[in-house]
Amino acid sequence: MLTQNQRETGEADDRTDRALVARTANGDESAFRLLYERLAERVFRYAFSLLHNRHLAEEVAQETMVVVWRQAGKFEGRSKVSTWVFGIARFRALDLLRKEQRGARVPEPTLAEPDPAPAIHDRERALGAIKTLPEEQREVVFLTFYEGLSYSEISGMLGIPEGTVKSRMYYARRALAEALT
Amino acid sequence: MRRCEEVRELIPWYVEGNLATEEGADVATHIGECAACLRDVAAALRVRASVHAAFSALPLVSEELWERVSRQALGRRLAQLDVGSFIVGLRLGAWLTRRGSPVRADLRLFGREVHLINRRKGGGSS
Repeated sequence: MLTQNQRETGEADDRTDRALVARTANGDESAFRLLYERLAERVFRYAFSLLHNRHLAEEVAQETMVVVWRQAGKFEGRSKVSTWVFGIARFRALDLLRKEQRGARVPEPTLAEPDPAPAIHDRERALGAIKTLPEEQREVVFLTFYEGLSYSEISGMLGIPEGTVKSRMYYARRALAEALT
Repeated sequence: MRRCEEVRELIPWYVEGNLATEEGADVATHIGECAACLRDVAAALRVRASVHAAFSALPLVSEELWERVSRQALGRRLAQLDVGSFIVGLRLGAWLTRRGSPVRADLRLFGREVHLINRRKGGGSS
């Protein structure tokens, strides 16, 4: 469980991100580079959790970071920087998903080949189980267990009631527990 | 005391330490007295560990991504003038981006860059 130290680290991280966004808004490239180093990988993983496609997830990460550069001055600070950035990434990812579903894009095969090593096999199994979840549940699982967002933060980011966040998580957790047993 | 159903919905954020103090205390009190919910906490911890391991194992972004981002966001440098030394210096530059040709000027003091001018599209500056 998260300790007081971890919580304080999260708050300090957000303060750093906010300072970097403010500098980026003033056109400071070195600040933008630092922001990229802190966020691009996380955005990529979030996009991957939605799209399950490395190429598209990179495209989302690229477009998101470009929007961060252009829109840094418009960040109002009402949420964590990471929540704002994930919101941008989500919009881009869902747009790509819609295009893919309409057949405008051709998805590429993505997940790595299964490896015989037990730890890797477990991870592949977990990834496989996560992949079977409906997209809206997968997203809540990622944001809760990987990004450590609270249910109210997720509710604000996705624009859905807190009760919906909790019920999505409840069903996702039940499915994962069954798949991973 | 909260009902089991209510507590079980909160357990993912309880194991993440992401509940408000009072709500977390309520859940802790409940699981201290409810063996079924305590088992659910253990199950949530196992799922959390699996999910974390799975997402941590995803491939990293390619090394070229920053190049693509910086080309698209910052543009291609047209000209740059650098005067002074590492300790104190001035850099003037012009870039070409899809959104115009920004001009930037940075003052360098003891290796740290301070922005003086940043004229972006539409003549906006900071």
